[in-house]
Amino acid sequence: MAPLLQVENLRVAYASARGALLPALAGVNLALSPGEILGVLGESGSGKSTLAAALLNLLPPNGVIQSGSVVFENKNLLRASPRELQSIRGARLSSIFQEPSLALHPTLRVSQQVSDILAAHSSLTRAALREKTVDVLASTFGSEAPRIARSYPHELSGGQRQRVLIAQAIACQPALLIADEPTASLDPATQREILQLFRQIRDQLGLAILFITHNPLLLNAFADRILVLYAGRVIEIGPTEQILASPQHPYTAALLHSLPLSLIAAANAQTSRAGNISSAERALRLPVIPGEPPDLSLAVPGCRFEPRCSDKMSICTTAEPELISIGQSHSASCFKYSATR
Amino acid sequence: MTATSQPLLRVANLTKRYSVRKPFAARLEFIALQNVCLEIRARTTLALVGSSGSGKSTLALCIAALERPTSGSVFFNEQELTTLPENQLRQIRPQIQLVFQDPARSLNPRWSALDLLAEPLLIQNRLTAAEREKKVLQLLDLVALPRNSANKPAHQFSGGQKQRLAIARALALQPQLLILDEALSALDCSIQAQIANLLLDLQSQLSLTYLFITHDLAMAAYLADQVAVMHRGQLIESGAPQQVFRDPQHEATRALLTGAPPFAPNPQTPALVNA
Repeated sequence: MAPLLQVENLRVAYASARGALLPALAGVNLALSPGEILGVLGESGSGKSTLAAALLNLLPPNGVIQSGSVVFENKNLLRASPRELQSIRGARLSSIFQEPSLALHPTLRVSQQVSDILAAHSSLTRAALREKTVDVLASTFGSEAPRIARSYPHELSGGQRQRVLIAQAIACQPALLIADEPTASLDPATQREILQLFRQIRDQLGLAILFITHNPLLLNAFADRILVLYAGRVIEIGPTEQILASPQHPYTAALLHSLPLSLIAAANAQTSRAGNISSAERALRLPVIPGEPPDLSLAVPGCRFEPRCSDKMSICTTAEPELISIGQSHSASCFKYSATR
Repeated sequence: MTATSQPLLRVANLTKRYSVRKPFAARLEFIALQNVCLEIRARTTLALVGSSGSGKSTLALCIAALERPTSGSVFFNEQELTTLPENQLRQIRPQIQLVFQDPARSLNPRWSALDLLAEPLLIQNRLTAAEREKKVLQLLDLVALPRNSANKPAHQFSGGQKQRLAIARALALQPQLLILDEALSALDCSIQAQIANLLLDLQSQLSLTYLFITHDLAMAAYLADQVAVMHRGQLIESGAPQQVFRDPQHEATRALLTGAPPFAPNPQTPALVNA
């Protein structure tokens, strides 16, 4: 299948007030098939939100695209004119961001805010617009749709507001939805509901989803593939089950093991108890990744994870590793794998 | 963390009602807390879990005497707080400190670490300037921030470092009880683990008692000796983490558990590290 979205060698930097360029993305490559859910996993400063903004060609004014291409449905979005972008964004390519209360207009009814999107991308009559709006809201709210349509955002819960944003995003039947931390402000039960809704609209509409998060737990049983970003680089990419069960890059492995669940799993494996942690086990500490994410303004010759890595070798300080295939559709950028080959 | 210690905090039949007034409608009563009873023994951790709007933060505010409850009592070291006049409360307040979710919002970004950490000492008017500065440096050591960062403004610290600052500030007056209201939720996973370990280290070092409010059940199981589950203003279940999570008695607890995606990385690599 031809990829729906193909990103090649994308480099983005931000200009600082003094004119220096701070690199945010350093040569990102990725391809997304129609109907696929790709989870982009990264911590603060890894470049995940820059990636979302660059794909939409919506970087802030000091953002500079240094090289690369973003080809969506055979069109390079980085070369498209503002008019072309306007017709693509919100229609074929839509987006959802983190804070649902900031993304909605506080004094307009939900129905108005959904029908505005439909009106911007089609030439429906008012009656047809009204009908379509209710249809779209029904796909995220079911039988509650008419009541929600009459509501104002402040009358809705966080989860309901996020459902309104999803309705807006799918109103024009896009081929790709970019969701940047869409569930970060919700509680776990609501998060789960929203993830189920994403799966459901993917199955019904066949749209692809690029789902950006810092929480690996959300991607389990949700994403088809996971891409791990660190310091603006893709350091590992592969099928979700493989990445979560047997991460290959030292960063991914350390990140997953720093979750308290890993301690519970280890305690279970040791005592074969289907329970939690006893106070003796709690005297133990979570295995943490030492240090902080790297300062991207400093040019370093070696691997960006090397200072925090527990598996480092001498080559890691002198050269930067490239993505190496380590199995079927699974790649990692680490010299551990080039040495054995 | 021995089981023989005294209850440091005892909450009895705590009820908090807010009256809500909508335009053109009758006054409504919103029951944020209803007959909540709980106990935290000294030097232990109680994790308070529950979905959004279940009353967790209202309970924390009542315990910290930042909200007056409608009825019921809060005993701190066997002293009733809810009826205490403000001038006497002021002497107790240093004993109960809070750390909130978003350190970027709870610290003035333009203040230096030194000013931020010295402010509680200044308000309680305990020390000379030189003593204060010495104490601030000790606080920085305590939360593993470099001493030479004392003069940096708060906005130049990373998210994890800011939360370390917020914890150091809460510890400045040597409290007995620390209320951690979603104190890890805004941080990246790898930083969460660092701060969680720091909290455990500080607890044993300083004999602290924690009330840890969270959505994250795995973190609750890791940090807490006791778990209490809240649902619509009521405390519906409590007990040891393994008991509550393995054998939930209440429907709402089960709903919380299914909200947590069941997943664990392969424990092939050594996941346990000695303190």
